Amino acid sequence: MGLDVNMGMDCAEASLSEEFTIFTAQLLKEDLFGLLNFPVVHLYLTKVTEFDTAGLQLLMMLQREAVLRERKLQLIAPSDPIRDVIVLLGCESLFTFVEPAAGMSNAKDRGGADGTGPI
Amino acid sequence: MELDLSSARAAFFFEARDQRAILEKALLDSEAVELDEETFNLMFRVAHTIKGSAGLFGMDAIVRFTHLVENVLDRLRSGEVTLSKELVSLLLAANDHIGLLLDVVEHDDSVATVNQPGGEELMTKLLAFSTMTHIPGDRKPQVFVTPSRPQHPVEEGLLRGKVVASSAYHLSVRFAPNLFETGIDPTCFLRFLKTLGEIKRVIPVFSHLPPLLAFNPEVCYFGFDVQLASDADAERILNAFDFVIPGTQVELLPPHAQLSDFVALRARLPEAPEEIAARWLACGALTEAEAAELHAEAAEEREGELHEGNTGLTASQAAASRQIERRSADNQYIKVEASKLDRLINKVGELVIASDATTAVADRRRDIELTESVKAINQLVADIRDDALKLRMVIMGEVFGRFPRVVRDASEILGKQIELVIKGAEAEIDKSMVEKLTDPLMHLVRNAIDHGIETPELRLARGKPVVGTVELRAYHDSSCVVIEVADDGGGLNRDKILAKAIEKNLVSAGTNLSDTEVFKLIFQPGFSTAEKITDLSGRGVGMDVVRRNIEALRGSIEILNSEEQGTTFRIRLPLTLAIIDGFRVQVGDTLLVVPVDMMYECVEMPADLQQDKARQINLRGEWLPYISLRELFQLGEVDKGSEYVVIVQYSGRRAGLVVDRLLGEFQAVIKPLGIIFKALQGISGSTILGNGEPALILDIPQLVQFAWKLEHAQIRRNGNSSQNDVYRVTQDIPI
Repeated sequence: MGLDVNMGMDCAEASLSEEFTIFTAQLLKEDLFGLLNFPVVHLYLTKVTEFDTAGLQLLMMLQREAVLRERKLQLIAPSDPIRDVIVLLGCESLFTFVEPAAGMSNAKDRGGADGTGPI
Repeated sequence: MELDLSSARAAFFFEARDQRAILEKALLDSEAVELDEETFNLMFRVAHTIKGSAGLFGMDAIVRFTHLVENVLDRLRSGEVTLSKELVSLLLAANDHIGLLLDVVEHDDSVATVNQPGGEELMTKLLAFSTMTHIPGDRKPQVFVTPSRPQHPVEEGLLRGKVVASSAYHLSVRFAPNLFETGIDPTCFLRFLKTLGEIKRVIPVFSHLPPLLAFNPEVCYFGFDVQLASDADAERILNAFDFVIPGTQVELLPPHAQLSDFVALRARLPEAPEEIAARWLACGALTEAEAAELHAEAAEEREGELHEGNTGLTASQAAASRQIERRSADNQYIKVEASKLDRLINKVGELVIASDATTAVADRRRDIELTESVKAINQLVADIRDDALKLRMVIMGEVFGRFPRVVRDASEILGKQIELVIKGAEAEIDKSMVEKLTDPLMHLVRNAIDHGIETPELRLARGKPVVGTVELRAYHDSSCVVIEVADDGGGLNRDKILAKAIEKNLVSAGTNLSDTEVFKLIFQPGFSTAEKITDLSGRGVGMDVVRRNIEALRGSIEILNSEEQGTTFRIRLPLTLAIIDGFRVQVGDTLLVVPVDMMYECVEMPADLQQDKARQINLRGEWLPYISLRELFQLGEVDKGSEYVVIVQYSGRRAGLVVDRLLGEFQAVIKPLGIIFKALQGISGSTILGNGEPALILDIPQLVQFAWKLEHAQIRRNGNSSQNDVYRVTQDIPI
């Protein structure tokens, strides 16, 4: 479990891994919202192995807050557990996900930022 | 630091009793008129307020009990149960029990958490009316399940009978905020539901997603509406939620549910109606047309509300104006400690005396400026006196208010149909009399119901309407308040009363008594003619207590009777007990005061009348008995001048009082006589005159009675009054 962050000048690239559930939500909250100090945030969700409603709520809040603070937040490449829960809860329309290839406009400039994401 | 709660506590009991009275009145009203929504809300608020306040003081027994009452009232206002006669009786009993709890707890705080006898039984009954219910907004968590074949608790005129096209179950679930603590995730439910059939559409609901600062990632903000196509029965589906924790709202509507059920469901969900309708449309629970109908219905409802405000629809208008009345009534009253009021009135009394003294001084000085100024002050003082006295006046409605309940209960017990008519509830009476008046009136009303009104069969046989009438009337008559308790029952039976009186040795057989005298016998201690003793009356205590209570208030009671047509008890009471307009008279060296409102006129005593024995004077053709105050009170002789007769009247009878001098009017503040003088006849109180001297106030009712008694005795002695002893009064002196 955890959030690995790679901070650039005006862009933060982060990757969530393992558990993103009620058990980790409280711990992750501060770090996740801290990302919004950057104008552009790329959040990779590929490595998340466990996801639940608590994780979903947190992700929604993050997305909403980014809009409020006019940050560019990209949720990139959600893992299957995330997709399953989102579909199960009927929340597909609430999230905009970006696939690594298409969504890496900023990262692409620096190369290296492919599907694996920066760690 | 310990907070002093005692005054708050006292206020609580005061308020709670007020609230209780409101509830009782509403319940009784419900038997005559259909209650409107506002009243149901009011009733609910009453229970809610009592419960809430009792909770503050840790009176758990009251909280427990009123909670159940509140539940039932809440179902009542939401239309889930109807106000049947049975429920009215139950709620009245419950209301009584709340009163009992209040009484018990007020006297002994240590029992504040203990249920009282009778409470358990009522609670069980109340529970029967409140089970299987969802309480919107109630803090107590509950799961509500709409029955799979629902009755239609809310009849929505237009939508009645219409069913929705959707062939799937509709589920609305709003999870408790602390759901996650239990380790259950909403996904579990959806996964389970998937095993039962096809989840056609899930619409997530984040009703209360807060701003970031308030956001707690461990709180569940989630809920969902779902369309589930399944062959499983409703019970099976609901099994999924067996382990759901309290606070979660689970609503299930069957396939092709009534559109009206959706309306009812919408009302139970926490979100805005428009939002819900849109969601249902999105998840396929409703078709466009159905959603439109739902929408139209909502619009109509709003329009209806608008109409109520504007048009002259009687019911709604009445409700609206009542609401305004209630609101303004809240603002119009302040509660004042009774002792403060008494102090004020006492001081005003002193002020009246002092200003009278000043007037006397000013008159002596013959200083015109001073006299004028004192006059102005006197006028103001008189106004203040009147205002101060009015402070103590309350409307009779306060006394009459409790009788609808008494009549209702009593007629139920006796199996008689009785209508209570109240007239003149706006007549005012001194507050200090109210309490002492309640018991006597209660006796009279119960008597009227029990002995007065006949059984329905007998009434029919007598050609009277089956429903008997008991009437409470109040009105002002000169300076009296008259209160009448009238019934259209069988009336008093003269022979029966007389027989009973002879049997009890109250009168000797063969005594010749007038009807009035016979009827007065029922005021004798231990007198009861009822053939059977009931719960209500007839134990032989009562009427004598009634008479004593009334007399203690300087009042009187008389009986107007017509056999088989009914009886009326007429009570006369003075308007106030504190201040009277007095008229000073002098006998020998003694000053005496006659209440002006009982004076009829003053005439000069014909000199030749002074030695005669007949004790009658002729006032413009009417023969009146008179008594000499000098003889009565054994006052000293003065130099023989002319004497005057003050004609006084009470309760329609007149008599003369012979005095030496007439001194004029003044305001007398009545100071009650001490207990030592209680036995004193003919004197009702004392007062202090402007010059600081005390004077006694004459008890005119007693004196009038005394004069007539003497007269009767004389008539009996002489066989007839001798015309020779009577002279004609020729000269009137205006007062």
